[in-house]
Amino acid sequence: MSRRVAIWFCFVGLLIVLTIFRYHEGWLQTDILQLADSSSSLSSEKIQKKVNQQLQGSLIWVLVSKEKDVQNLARNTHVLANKLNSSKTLLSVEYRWADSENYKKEWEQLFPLRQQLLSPIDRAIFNDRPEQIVRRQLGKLYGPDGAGIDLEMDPFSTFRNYFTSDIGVTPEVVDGIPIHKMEKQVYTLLFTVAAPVDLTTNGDSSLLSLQKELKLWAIKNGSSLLVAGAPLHTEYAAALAQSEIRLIGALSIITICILCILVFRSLKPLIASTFAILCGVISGISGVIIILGQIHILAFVFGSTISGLAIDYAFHFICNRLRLGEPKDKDILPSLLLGLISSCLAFFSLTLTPFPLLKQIGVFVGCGLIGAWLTVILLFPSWINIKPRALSFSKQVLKLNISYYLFPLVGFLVLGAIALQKIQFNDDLSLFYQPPEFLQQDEAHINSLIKSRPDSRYFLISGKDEQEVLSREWQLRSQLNRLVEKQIISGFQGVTNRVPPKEVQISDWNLLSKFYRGDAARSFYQQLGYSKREIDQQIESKNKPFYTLSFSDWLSVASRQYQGLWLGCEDNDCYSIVRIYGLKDELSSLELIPGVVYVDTTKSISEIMSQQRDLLLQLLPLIFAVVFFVTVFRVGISKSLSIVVMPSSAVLGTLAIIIFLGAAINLFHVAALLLVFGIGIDYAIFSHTSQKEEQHYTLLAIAMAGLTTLLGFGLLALSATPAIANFGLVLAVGTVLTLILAFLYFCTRGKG
Amino acid sequence: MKSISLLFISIITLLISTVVFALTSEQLQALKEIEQKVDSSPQMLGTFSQTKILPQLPRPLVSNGILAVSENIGLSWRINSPIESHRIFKIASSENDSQSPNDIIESHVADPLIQIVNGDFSKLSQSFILNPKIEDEYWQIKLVPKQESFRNIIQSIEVTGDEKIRRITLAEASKAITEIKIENFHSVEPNNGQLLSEFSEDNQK
Repeated sequence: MSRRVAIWFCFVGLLIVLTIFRYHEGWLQTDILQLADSSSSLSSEKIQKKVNQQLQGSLIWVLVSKEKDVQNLARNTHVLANKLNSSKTLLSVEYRWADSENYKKEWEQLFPLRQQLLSPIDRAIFNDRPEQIVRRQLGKLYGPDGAGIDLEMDPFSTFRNYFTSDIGVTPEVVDGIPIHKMEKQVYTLLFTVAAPVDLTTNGDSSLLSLQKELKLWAIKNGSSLLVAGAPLHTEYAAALAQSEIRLIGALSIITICILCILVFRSLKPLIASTFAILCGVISGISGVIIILGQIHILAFVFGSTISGLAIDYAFHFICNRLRLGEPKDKDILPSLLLGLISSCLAFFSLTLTPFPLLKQIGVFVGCGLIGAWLTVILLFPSWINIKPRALSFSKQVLKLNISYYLFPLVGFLVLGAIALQKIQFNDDLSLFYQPPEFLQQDEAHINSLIKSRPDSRYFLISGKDEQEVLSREWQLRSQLNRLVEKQIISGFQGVTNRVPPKEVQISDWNLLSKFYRGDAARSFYQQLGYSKREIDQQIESKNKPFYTLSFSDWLSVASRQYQGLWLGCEDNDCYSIVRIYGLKDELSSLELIPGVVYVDTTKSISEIMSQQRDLLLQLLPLIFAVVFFVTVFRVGISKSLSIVVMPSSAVLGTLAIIIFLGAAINLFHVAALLLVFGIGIDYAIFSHTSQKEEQHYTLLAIAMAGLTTLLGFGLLALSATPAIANFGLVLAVGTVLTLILAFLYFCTRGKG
Repeated sequence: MKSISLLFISIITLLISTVVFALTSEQLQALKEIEQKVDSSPQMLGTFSQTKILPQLPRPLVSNGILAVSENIGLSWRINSPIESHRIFKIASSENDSQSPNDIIESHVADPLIQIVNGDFSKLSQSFILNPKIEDEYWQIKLVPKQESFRNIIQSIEVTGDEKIRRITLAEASKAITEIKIENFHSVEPNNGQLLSEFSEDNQK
């Protein structure tokens, strides 16, 4: 084993040891909100996970039948629920009206506290006109519907009203299943929570195939099935992207193989280059785990792609080996080193920014390039054994005047400058994902049946303990009540619907105590024919002491809806969410009290994308500057300027073409521009530093690297997923422009 | 405590388990005859006198007033004596346009009542076991809730009448008995002034 190979193995061993030492399970983040630099997001991962599962993982299944088919619908709902329960893609299924056992436990736990718990309507009446309570109750007792009034324990039905104020009235329940009606249709609802979408499973066990299968089953049974929820969209988008990448990837791999065999007349260079990239990606992952501890999947994807730049090192080394005579590896090493240092410094400079995405990309690509470079330098000399030959095209390369190079070089710069005046940005998430028609139709149909579905936007309340959260949520309620009055929202739901904060319970207790001591309560009993002694007895028995409700005890018996709204306590903070219904207007201008955050996930993602895009754009000039200062020491000011201008011109030219094509620039465009810049830097360094006798081999290496990049990533422009297509298009245009500039540069060498 | 919690939970779960009882052909025939006999129209007005006997109270609660029925709106119940009270029990045509009542029990008792005064007994067969009897020009229907949980609140409802509904008796599980006598129950035009006034929200007390 040569010394170089031994060094390579030492390097690999060190990397493995350090990675194992720093490895932890959560190294790959998937939530895009974790890229936000604001402190408003949840600090606890566990709590965040619960929120995601509650809000992003829920799916609603609606089984619809004709009005007269109620019994059949109920039967089919049971069958459907069993089918859903047996699916591994779903974690839970709820479809019965209520868990009566839980209601009973909750009732029994709260009933002793009946003097301190009031419904919002009763609270308002006791505050304003307590005598109205007496009128209402007498009206019921004298009316036809006074059944079940407990004159002994709850004579004014305040507890009954409190307990039922948040339970929706369902027109009909058959065999425990609520049957909802809309015009001439009846329908049942099944609420499920999906397991996290596993992109590695095959299509047969996916949510989409389950949905398809159950829709057919429903039709066979005389019903129709509608499904809506974020997991379906996640799975659809991921499956679409995966299938496209697989197809395009397979196509590009085949063409790259053919190209390599034709040019190198051997498969070994291709295998070696692929191995170098693989080493680069692994080094990148290890680097991120060792230095940062974790990486976001978006940074991972961008980083892996940009690490593909490493193929340039491999091709330059291999093409240099094609030169006639003894191997002249030393000729190529300075350029390879310069290419590495300039690229690494450019990417490592991203780590100086305070933004997680940029930091992660910087570390990933920097470490990745070092890993690939070391593989090329240390392994390739003893591995690559290729037959040298003269290049047949070398005599046919045109000799052009320098203006042929300068004209497009300056032209792209000018075009870019003009286009920058017209640049428009768009980070709307809909640009990145267009839901398919079959999902949109179900969504629209469900919305027509159920007018008040909870919005994806919600309020997050935090506090140092349960009481502080409840108090803050209660303050938020008064703001939300005003929004309901203004018809901006149709309703809201939080744990304080059931358990008000202690100060409100004390206030309610005082209200009822005052009421029982007053004339109104006495007149009620008088009108029912009680004697004075009996009235005194009744009133005496109604006055109960104030009890402190144990929130955790209540939570253990609370219904599913409330348990889902309470997120729990973690790291000295407790959290709850308030869900809103029927939102008709923007709420971001709402002035919120401390500890309350309005969460609009869609908007947050758009804002983060926009923020990261702007940062990347602003950092491009900084990277140019870094490359300039690195190369200036090796090649001097004028050549260094010339090196930097080539990728700058390609980047600006690409940006101009994209803008003139009418595209609004987004994060994916900019990420691809970063890659175009990386490609351009390498091509510029190699084209400017190669000796005259090796220039045709350098040109071949550049052409091979360019063509493989074009085939590998440029074909992504054909994707139906806008984000992938944007990325591929920029890369395709950028690579072509860089290749043109590099080729023209070679053609003009020695002329100008 | 236990009994009241069971009573309430019965309301909560009152429709959890539906048992389908089919009417015999004789009962079905009798029901059709009664529905044909009963003089019902989309809008009706009448007076009532109600006597409620509650075991906890020293004397029965007697009230009287005006009731009005509108096929599209529901039932208006105006008590004139001994107290003044006016309530409108609305029909929920679909849950999206229904107003959630303050009291969940109210809707579960009021809904069958609306169907009874409308003479729409067939619809009640979904939630009640119907036992109709006809004797000469008089008829009687006994309604027993199908669900045990509902029977823990309302044991039975008895309706008697001739060409008109005359008396409704509600027997509660708590031994409370409510007897409603309906008099002068007659059809009116949709634009009848008194009918409109009875269904006016402003008149609710």
